[in-house]
Amino acid sequence: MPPATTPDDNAWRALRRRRFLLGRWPWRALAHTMSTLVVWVVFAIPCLAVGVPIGGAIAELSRGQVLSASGLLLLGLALGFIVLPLLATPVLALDRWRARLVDPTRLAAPPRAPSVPGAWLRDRYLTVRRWRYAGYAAATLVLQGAILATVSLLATSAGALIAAPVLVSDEDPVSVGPWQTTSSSAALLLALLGLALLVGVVYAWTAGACLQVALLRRTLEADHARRLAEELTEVGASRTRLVESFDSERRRIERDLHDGAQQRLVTLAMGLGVARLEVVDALGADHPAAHGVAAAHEQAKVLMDELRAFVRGIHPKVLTDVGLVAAIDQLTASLPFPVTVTSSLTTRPAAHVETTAYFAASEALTNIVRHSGASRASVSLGRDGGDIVVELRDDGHGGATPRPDSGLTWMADRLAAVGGSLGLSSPPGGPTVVRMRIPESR
Amino acid sequence: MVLAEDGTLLREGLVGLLERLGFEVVSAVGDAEALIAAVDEHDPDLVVTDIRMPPGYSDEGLRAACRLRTRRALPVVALSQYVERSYAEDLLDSAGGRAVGYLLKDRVVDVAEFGQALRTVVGGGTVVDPEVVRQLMRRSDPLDRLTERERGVLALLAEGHSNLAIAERLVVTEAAVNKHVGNILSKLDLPPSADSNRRVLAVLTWLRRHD
Repeated sequence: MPPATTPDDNAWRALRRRRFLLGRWPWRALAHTMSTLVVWVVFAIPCLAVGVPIGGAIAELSRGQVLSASGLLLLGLALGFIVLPLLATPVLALDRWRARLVDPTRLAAPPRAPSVPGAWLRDRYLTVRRWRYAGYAAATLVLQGAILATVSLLATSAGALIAAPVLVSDEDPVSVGPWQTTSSSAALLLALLGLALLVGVVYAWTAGACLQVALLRRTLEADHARRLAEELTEVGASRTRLVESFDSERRRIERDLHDGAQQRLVTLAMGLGVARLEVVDALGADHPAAHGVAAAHEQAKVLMDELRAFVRGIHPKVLTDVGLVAAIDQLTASLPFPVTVTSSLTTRPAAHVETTAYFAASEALTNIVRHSGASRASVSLGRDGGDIVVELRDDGHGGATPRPDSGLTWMADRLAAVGGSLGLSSPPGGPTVVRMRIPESR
Repeated sequence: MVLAEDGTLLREGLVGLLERLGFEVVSAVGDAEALIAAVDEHDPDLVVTDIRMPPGYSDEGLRAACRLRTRRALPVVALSQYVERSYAEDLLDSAGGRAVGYLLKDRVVDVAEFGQALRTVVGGGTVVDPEVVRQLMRRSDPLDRLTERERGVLALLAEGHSNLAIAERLVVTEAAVNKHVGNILSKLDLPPSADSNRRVLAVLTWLRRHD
């Protein structure tokens, strides 16, 4: 048996253990059940404010006064409407505090009410959450009352039964219902019965307390789950914004390089080209000066190619100017094996879709070159439902699996950031098919 | 000739280069509208234009060139930032593909070759960037019928070089090139032709059809 004091231990777990009665949980649960009395006393007065007009309405109705009955009923309901949400906050706070007697695990706290009066009123009376709390308050006051009453009744009965051997005498029979006895052996039997009932009562009050806490937990966590969902949506949106700002930053860098360094470099290489001609004309091709200028010219050309490849990796101009199909077409042109590009797109997708599709396809093609051993590949682009679908096939040896830090994982992350998805089929022996879907609208 | 290029630095560099190559630059402009106006004003023998220009920075230069060529086969060399075959095709489809060139912008640094390409276009010839030809050729399965050497000759042919220029590049005799060209044309079912430019266009058309 685990020690009774593990941090996540609670009355509900203890209830299912054999030595439950010997531990501290029955006493804690009892304290919880008894403290219901305090809750009741504290809230009896505000509840009366609602209860009295409704009671009055029932009385009027029994006298046939329909009009005054409905008036009182309306008054009761209106008071209930005003009082219940107000009542819910302290009920919830008290119950949340008391719940630790039964389950020390902290319960999610209800959110704070706004301090601006207008917002406070709206929050209090016009939100689903507050009305759920109000519903809880109403339900729990009834439920806890019922539990307390039942437990008290059963406990009293058990007490009376246990006392039977002491109370019984020939003149003073003990009766249970219609059955009476004056025999002391029968009384002893009753005492045993009472003892059994007492054990049952201990279980009952613990179960009752657990039930009440479970209800409280549900009430608070329904909210918690929704808040988590809201936060997740916000995190998703911020990830999308992050990727988009990343993309626009790349475009900006590409533009700056294109307008600045690239243009300057082409002009420089051109100038060196002219100088090369001049030097050859003036001094002949074999002159050391001609060699020097020629070498500088060639170097500038190499640098130009490298810068162009670098800029293309940042963000290819053809993607912005002409579109996704042309950009992928150009990308495949430099690969060491033939790639067929087919497209059924008749109009250009949105810029962020094109950028995502381009870089994901680029990564997929890099993977094919590096790992697949393919001799042929194909890329097809199209629309399906509201999605842009890009499918890449290769005739390589297959067996591709996404690992952390692998290209496939990067692609999946990149696609997920814009609400897209990645499908992969790569049986050993191939072929490998990668299918990317990107929703056109968010 | 008229030059259109939006980058100031590069435009000035190009003017210097073109004049060094013996061309008279009568007007150097920075956008497509100014290009059309300059052509109307000067009626030049050659236009060299950047494809990507203000205001939209997509294919303004190309559109202007094609528009100019609807009136007459004005020799035009269009410079492109990247290989886009649709651009090359638009140019080849204008004025019967004569007197037109499509080159990557980077080619201007190979000064002598660039000058040669401009002269070919002024003379009514067709010049296509080697990169475009390379892309067209690597996609055409029927080219498997050609030998390695024939494919090399075909590439140079498609770029717009004459038999003599091809012979010089490959360091073979012109007669050998003539033989290769004959073989290529018959293997591709193209009519033999003495006019080298008609031959270039036939080859380009064939490559585009089999792309």
